[in-house]
Amino acid sequence: MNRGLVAKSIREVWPATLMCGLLAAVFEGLVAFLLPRFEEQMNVQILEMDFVRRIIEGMLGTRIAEQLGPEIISSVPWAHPIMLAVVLSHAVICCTRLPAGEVDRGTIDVALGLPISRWQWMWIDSVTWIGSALVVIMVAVIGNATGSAIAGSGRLLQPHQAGMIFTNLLGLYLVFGSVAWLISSLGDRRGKVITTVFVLIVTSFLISYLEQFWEPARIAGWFSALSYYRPVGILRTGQWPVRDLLVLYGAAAVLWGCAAVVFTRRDLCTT
Amino acid sequence: MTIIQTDQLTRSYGKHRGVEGLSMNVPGGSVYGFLGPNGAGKTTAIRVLLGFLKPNNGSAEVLGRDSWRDGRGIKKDVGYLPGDLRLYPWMTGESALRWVGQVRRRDVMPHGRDLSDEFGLDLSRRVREMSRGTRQKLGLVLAMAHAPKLLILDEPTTSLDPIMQQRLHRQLRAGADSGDTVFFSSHSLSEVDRLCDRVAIVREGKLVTEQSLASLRADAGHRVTIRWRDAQSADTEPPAFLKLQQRDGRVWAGELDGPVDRFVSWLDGRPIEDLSIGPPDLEALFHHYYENGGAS
Repeated sequence: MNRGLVAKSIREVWPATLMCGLLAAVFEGLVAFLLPRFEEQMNVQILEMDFVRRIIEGMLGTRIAEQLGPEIISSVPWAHPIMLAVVLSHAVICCTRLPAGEVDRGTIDVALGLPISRWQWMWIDSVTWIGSALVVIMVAVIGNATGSAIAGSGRLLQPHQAGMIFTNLLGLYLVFGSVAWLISSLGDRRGKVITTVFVLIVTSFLISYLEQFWEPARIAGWFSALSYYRPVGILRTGQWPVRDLLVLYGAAAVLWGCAAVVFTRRDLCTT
Repeated sequence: MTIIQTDQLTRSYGKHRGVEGLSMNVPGGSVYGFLGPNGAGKTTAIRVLLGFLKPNNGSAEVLGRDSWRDGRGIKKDVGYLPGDLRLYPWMTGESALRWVGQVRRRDVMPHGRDLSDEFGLDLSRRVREMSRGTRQKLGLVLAMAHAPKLLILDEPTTSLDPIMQQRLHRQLRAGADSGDTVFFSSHSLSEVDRLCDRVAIVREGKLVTEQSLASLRADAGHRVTIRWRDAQSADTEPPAFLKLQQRDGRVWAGELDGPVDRFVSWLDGRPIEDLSIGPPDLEALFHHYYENGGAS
């Protein structure tokens, strides 16, 4: 490991990690604390208003029965769009720094004027990125556990449940991070890259929302990474979502590999 | 020993012309000027040499290694200053120097501090607070701090004041005298005249000429003014190697083509009252190359 590259990478990633980690932890804590208090009220609304049920189904990516069960209540903090937006924003911020961010601000000339290979740089930045992702998601898990413990509702996730959700969320995070990395490897302007990735994320959200009640979206559902992130299923069955994890981690590895190949072979020009 | 060698190097991209069929050899221990007007392809050539761009055709070797395949190995012994220098804004001069040392796995601090003193650079300031000239000085310090065998500088004196330019030239000359090589691009003729041993001139992506500065000087015309003692002498037919631009009574003014001694021999015994022979007019020669690629 090149100490200089590691230090630079950490220096550039920690502000986003701190910000997103804090936001995720606070959100998880608040929702885990507040949701059990409104459980009864939410069940009444679901009975009375069908569209509320649809919205919750779209958000959770699963059908719900007449009542919100304990698994559904516990999974809401993990499937909530705000939580996903915070976590995926971290992926987008971190994974568009190299090379698009470096080319865009012109600093790639200085860095690649030093004796480092592009592969080495990509590898080190990826290790830092994944490390920071672990921090953000771990902090969110801690926030969730803290909120549940303070609420005293008996909905505290068991360690194996938290581990499964953690692994599933990390897989989703890695897919979008790798997509961002691939688009960044193809681009020179960070703003355009970020916009493109956000469009893809929103599209994925839309597909998994619409597929609950619109047949064409159901057909496209397997394209959407969010279809492979199912905290409700994990909490209902207590089983590892092996197929989902294989799809997410496999896709992330392929996308990251493509990004590395593109970055190491492409021309770099800041002018 | 040849430090940089390109053979029929061609690189174009997008709307940019790049370089076409560029062949040059940069000898070790020299200051090599890479000259051309804006957009001539100087920066593209440098980017290929550093492995940022892959050649479309031909080859480029730096320190005996292929510039695209072994960029990392090459850059251990190369210092590089980009033309449009952008540094990480959160770094201070000190932390940038330390970072470069960490990446290079060498202690560059002592020499870096010496260079900073030489250039009057305050290393405690953050890059984002530095003026353009100060950032340029820091870029030079970062490029030179590990005492590289080859220094590649893309228009290094841009935004440096004349005193700093002089100090930089002194440093570069000292480096070349101790066996290191300096390859720098410029469009400043006086800079090249002052500093370089050899020059390559590019125009519209193509090499127009590559030769030693001494031979360029020999090619360059001298401005000559003669005041004849009488009008009759002034009526003489000028020699073929003197192109007269002004013939006003007893005064001739023109440009000498070729060596001075031939002209002095021609004057021998002729009745002249006053004579002035200027230094080789490199500027006119460069303009000649810039504007029509050396064609007469």
